[in-house]
Amino acid sequence: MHMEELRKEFETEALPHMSALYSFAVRLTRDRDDAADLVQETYLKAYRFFDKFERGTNCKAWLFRILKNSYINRFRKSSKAPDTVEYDAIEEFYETIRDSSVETSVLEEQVFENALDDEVANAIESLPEEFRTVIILCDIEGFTYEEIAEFIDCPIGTVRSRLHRARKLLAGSLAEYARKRGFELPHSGTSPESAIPERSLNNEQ
Amino acid sequence: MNNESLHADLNPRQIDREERLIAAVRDTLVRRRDTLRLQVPVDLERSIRMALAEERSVPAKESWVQRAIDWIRQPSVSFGMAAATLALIVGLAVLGQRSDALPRELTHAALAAFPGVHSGSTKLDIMSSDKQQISAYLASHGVQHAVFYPEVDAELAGANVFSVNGLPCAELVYKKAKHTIALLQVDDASIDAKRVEMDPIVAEDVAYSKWHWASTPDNGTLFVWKSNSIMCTVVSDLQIDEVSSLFKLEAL
Repeated sequence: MHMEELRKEFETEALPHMSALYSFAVRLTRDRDDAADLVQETYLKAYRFFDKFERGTNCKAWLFRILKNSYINRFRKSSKAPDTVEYDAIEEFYETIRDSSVETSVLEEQVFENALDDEVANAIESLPEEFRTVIILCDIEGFTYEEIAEFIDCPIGTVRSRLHRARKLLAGSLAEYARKRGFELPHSGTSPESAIPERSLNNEQ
Repeated sequence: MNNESLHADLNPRQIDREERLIAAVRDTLVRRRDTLRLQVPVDLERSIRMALAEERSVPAKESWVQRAIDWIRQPSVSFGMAAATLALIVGLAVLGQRSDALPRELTHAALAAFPGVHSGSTKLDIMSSDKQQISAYLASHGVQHAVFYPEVDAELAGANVFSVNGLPCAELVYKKAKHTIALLQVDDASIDAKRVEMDPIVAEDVAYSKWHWASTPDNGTLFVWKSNSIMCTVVSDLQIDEVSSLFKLEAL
């Protein structure tokens, strides 16, 4: 393919995914400068090897794979350690919500609908990397289970179970945020206040 | 994994509630997709576009590995190489021994050594999983540095001694089912002394980001890094993700 055609195709196919890549890179590295470096490196590599990209396949998934490989190469060793969170406590709290006797079918929708964007973002941020990755790839970036399985190099069953657990953890965290804002929750369990990471409580950006 | 195993040990009411909670979380995330996704900063977008424009304005800085791969892919060369290979095989069969000389550039050398090792047409000089035995053999055949054995989730099948510009170089061969992971090692001093050459792009990658990863044309992997003053070059028929999962990267 002619260089000029290749360039145009790259601009059409690859450049629109810049925000998705940056957003994922920030959540992967937990540092905006590192994320910027990672995205820049990803685009340069993608451009150099664009003739190897298999036409008709998912360009976004291809870019995410390059980003992940670059991340393994450059950042994994020095990446910031995730916050220490007592996930068992959040899951326990989640179970008290699930087991509550209230039959109101709209309760969950209300709780989650009223959550602030920052609360949702912080709740995602606080997930362990393996859960954070699948939930971002599936619910935010819209990848299929097959694409995620290929990305994280795991069977599809593992993707399903990680997603399930990640959503349960998020449900627990969001319900706890709601409780702190005075939203009445129908549970009698012990509040896992100490289990919610400090940065989440502070609504830090 | 099916829904039953996801909801093990729950009663029907708990299952119903759990499904509603999970669905509510998923809907919340999907609905807020655009706001949850961070926007790329304007200066980063500008910087990427400028870098791409710069990339276009200079002649492609093609690595030696890529040039070698492209050259081999030319039909006339492929045909010629096939004929030459056949002649070589016949010649070696007659002589009853193989040629141990490899190209002078490290990644070329590793790529050139791999097909024979993977197909089995190059017999291993020593077949053993005993590291001491292998090290002793390699030392007795001119390898002058301490051989580096990385932690690899694959079976050590043995080793070869190849000659790169007259320098005896160790190649460890690992097997994972039907797959091959070949690790060619050259000590730093031999590279510094220019006895063995190194593709500048690969050298830059190793110096700057510790590792160099590349896909070979047949979807295999080339992986270069330095450990204990030894430049290590892996070639495998496995893909990059698979190779990276076999090595304890943090320990390299």
